[in-house]
Amino acid sequence: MERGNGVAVGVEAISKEFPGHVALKGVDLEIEARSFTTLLGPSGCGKTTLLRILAGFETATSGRVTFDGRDIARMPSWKRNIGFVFQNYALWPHMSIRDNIAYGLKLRKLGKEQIAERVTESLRMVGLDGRAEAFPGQLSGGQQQRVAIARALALRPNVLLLDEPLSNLDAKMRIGMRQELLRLQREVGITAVYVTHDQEEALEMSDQVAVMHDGRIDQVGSPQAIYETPETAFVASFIGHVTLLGGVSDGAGGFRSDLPIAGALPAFDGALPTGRAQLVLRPEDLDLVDDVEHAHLRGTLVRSSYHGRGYRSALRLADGTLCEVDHRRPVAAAPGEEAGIRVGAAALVPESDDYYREAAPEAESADDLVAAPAA
Amino acid sequence: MPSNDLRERVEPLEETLAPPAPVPVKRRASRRPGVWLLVALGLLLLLASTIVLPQLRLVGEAFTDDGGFSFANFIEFFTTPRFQEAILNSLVVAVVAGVLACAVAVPAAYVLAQFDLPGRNGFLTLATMATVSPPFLGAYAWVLLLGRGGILTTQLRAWGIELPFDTIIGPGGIVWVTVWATQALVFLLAYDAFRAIDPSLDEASSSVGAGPWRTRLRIVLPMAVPALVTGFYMSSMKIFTDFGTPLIIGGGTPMLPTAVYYEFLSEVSTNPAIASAGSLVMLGVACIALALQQWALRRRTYASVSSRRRPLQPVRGVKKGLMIAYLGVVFGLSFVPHLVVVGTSLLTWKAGILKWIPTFDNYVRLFDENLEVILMSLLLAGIACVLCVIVAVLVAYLTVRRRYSVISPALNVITMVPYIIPGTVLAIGLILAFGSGPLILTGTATILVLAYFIRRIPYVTKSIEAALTQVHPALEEAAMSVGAKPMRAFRQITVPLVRPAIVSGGTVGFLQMVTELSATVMLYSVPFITMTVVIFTNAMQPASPFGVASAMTVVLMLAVYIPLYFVRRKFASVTSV
Repeated sequence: MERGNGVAVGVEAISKEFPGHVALKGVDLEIEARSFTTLLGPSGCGKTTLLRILAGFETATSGRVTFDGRDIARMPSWKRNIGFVFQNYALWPHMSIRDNIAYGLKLRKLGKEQIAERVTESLRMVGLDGRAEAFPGQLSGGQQQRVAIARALALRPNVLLLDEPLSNLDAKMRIGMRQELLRLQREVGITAVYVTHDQEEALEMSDQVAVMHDGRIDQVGSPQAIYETPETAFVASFIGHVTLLGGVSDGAGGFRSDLPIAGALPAFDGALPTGRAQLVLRPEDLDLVDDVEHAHLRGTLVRSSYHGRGYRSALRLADGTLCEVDHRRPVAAAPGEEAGIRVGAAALVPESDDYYREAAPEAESADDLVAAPAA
Repeated sequence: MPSNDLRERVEPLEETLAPPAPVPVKRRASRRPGVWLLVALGLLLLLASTIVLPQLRLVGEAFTDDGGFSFANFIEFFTTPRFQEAILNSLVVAVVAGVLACAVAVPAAYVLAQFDLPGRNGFLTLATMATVSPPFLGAYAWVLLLGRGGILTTQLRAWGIELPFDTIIGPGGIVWVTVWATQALVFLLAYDAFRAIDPSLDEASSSVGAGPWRTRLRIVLPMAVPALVTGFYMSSMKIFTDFGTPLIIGGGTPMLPTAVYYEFLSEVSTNPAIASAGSLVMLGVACIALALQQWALRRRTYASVSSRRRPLQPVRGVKKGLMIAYLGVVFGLSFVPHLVVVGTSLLTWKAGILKWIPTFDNYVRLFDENLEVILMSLLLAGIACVLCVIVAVLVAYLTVRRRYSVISPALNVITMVPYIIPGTVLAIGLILAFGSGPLILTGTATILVLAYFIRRIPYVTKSIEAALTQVHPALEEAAMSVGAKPMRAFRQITVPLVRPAIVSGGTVGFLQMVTELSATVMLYSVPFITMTVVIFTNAMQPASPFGVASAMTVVLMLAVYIPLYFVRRKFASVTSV
């Protein structure tokens, strides 16, 4: 197979409006040729819409999409030379595996022998040689997804677009397929754009992660950058489990927390905000200590549970915030007693109410309660 | 990083927080105008000119008197005793026969759905066959049997048994015939409804101390009410719009379809304007009936949560015998007409009198004299059926997949309009629209094809639409992503996937077309004569060659039941409903 026919993809000021709903609000993104880029975000953030615009299934309301600098925003999907892998596989149930893969090749008027060759090659690549005569209904979910990938790759497309391709698989298969997908992408040298809501998947597979939120891209960067130096409260809270503490940042590494912190915090990385800011604390960067006097923060132990690799405990801080801490050693404190937290690493983001909430439905109902008397 | 925590955090969100907006996003196809938009516009033009325009002409005709707008036609219609009687008769017969059909069919459906009885599939097959049998078959056969000089009447008299009535002809005959002709419709709907009731509801009822009869009346019957309402609506509307039955067995009883027919077509004193007013009255009744049905169904659709199959209760002894006997009587009476025509087609007739001499002469004569009629029927229905399927597939696709803002809903509504148009009304509209003016179709085969097409388009479209919603849009997008243009993706991916619905919907459409009478009888002209017309005209004349008519009815039944057999064998559940 030819190496590296992947193209660079450019997204410039893409907006997409649906009746009564704005899905994308001016999105910019640069995707390097032959890289693996993930669009990560909660459902409804616009990530799938952006992918479908790249595929040509949707037309952007405004903005440009380029492949190697060529504007293709008006080009229909059947001319774009893309491969698309769907969440539900979308194999044609009335065609055999061979016909599923050969369909696009026949449309390209390839010779019979060449088609047969490519079908065999693609099936070998995904480890399904010998299943060409089976029908989709006879294969397991994982096998069907492999066929879907083979179908997309057989055309040697310039871009491979994947819409949560692993989310219908069981947990174990999902983890195995991550590495396999990545191997295929590297082997073929194709540009891959991958949509997912699973941050673990995004961090493990990507060269570049774009965290999307409410129709915008909050932050683009390497997995390390996204995880270690989040730029917004949303990114910090969506990737992993965090505690956010409000305060004021001087923009030069100094941070005065609203809740008194004893002692100096470790130095921050990356661009620092000035003014109101939030300290991002991840459980694995914290440690629980019994020696309250030498701790950065103190709180009341709410619960503590053992997870095999260590413990996770939750503490109620003085301002009511619940802070989760991972630690290897058991603590002496019992629930209800005081314990200390040592901060090993932390990040700073500009203050925002716009963080990823787990309990949003409850928050809505609380709003309802507030609004009720007025109405 | 403990991985389980992370996934637990994210996944429930997909379900609980998903805003409603992105859902249509996934289903909507690209808005790029193209070949599909042209198809949509072409269909809109075709359907508007064949379905909407004739009805508008009808409205215009009904409200015009002396060249100006007027209610005069309606006033005359409602003040003429003959029409007043027709309205009353039609409504009373439709309601009485509809109620009786339900009364007959619902217990039958219940015992078959609830108890483990032998011959279950046989009864279900008979019911399906009954729903597609020719509409006038019952009237024709029962007159042969119990008319003044009927086979049974004469025979019983010869044995010295006096019937309580002289002849079956009259309003009572209409009710008798239509009850047995439409009960199968109610039966199938009720059977499905009873089978779909979650068995744990009965169990819950008996767990709180309700006896079996209390459970039946308080739990099972109310759960089946939506199906019963629909069954009653469909059977009574079928009776209300039936044209052949009242004419054959009504003995001059004025009914709306026949009164309108005579007003429009009889040789003496026709008045198209009055006939149009009468047509609109029929249409109005049909609309009100539909509105009543929809109103009665409101908030009455119960979602069944369980997928557990309802177990069949064992039953033995006298109870079992009584149940089978009851089912036997119900379906026996429904199939008396079929047996009568088969029997009489194999016996000798002399000047309208039956001789008990077996013969194949009727068939020989039929194929000698009427082969063209048989072929014509099949040809016209065949062409209309193909047209119907093509248009239905396109309309269903445009409404389910390509939701153009105004055109798609308009197409959807227009294709459903014929659902409430009685055959007689449809025919009058077509004659008014295409009997003069720029496009004259009366007297051609085209107008028959058009009528068949229009009458069945709602049903075929609905069945294909239902199948299409089961085909995920991603299948077509996948084809486009590998380079197929939209039309090719539609042809090679979507159409093959809905093929079962196309075949079964098209077949049922064909069956209904080949047995169509009420519009055909107004629209046909020599040489485009169908089997239904020949049988009907024979049935209307004393001393006509009943043997040949029966033989033709047998051929018509074969034309219906053979395709039905093959489709049912291939696709488990096919009904005309």
